Amino acid sequence: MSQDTPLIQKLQAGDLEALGALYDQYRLTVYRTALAVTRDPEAAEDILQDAFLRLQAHADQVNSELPLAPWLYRVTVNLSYTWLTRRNRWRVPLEDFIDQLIGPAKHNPEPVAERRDEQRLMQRAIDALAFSQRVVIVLYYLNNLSLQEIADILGCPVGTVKSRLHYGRENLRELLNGDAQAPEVQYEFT
Amino acid sequence: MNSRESRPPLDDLDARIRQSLRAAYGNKYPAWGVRRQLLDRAAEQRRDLRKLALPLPDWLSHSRAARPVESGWNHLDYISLLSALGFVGVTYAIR
Repeated sequence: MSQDTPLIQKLQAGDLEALGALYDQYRLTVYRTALAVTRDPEAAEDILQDAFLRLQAHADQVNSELPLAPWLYRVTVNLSYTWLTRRNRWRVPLEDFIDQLIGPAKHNPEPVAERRDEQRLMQRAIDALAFSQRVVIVLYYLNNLSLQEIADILGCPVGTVKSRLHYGRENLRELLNGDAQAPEVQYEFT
Repeated sequence: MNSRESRPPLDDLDARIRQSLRAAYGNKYPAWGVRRQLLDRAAEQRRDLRKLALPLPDWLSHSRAARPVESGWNHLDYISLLSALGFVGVTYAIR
């Protein structure tokens, strides 16, 4: 039995207040994870709502004896992936079009002060990671989950999580070193 | 110069990633209206699910062959009869 058991059982019995209580308990976990993966506050709020609507719709399939967090993380990751896939389908051609229009402006050097902004550089580097690596990095560093917990959420072996974390970290190192040394940095059009 | 001196140690990168992510997202909150909106949508979803879960009438919950004889004719029987008559009528008109 977990601390969520009574609320999940109430939700399974059709109690909307239980859904509200579970929302209050997990909203930051879901919202911040979705925000870190998508980097879009509106998308993160949509994902937050959708995750809890799914919880209600599939409440009878949720094991009330287990903690709810892994289930919510899994749904959040899946919804974030869906959102990113849909967005990229439309955004990439638009970005190509903008690139064609503005051409050389894209290659203007950024101000040195901006390049030194650690948080901005790190975020940009994380954005450049493949989705599978980005998710592991977010769950591990932002949510402080263990490798085993991440493996359970993603439904893959711990070795796979270790590997994604390793390559994600190495890619971040390369991207950060590259950014620090590169004379030219691309602007973002998001 | 060895590789350890030329690159920041692993722990430093770990700390940088952790610190950056927490600084960027650790103080972010969803809008207040999201909770209300969620509960409204959840209530709506519940109503929709209830509609879908309405029990089937007795005559529909049995296969045609297994339907009780005493139920007599129902609207499906009438629809079948009308379809058959229509088919015959159209065939006759074409000829």
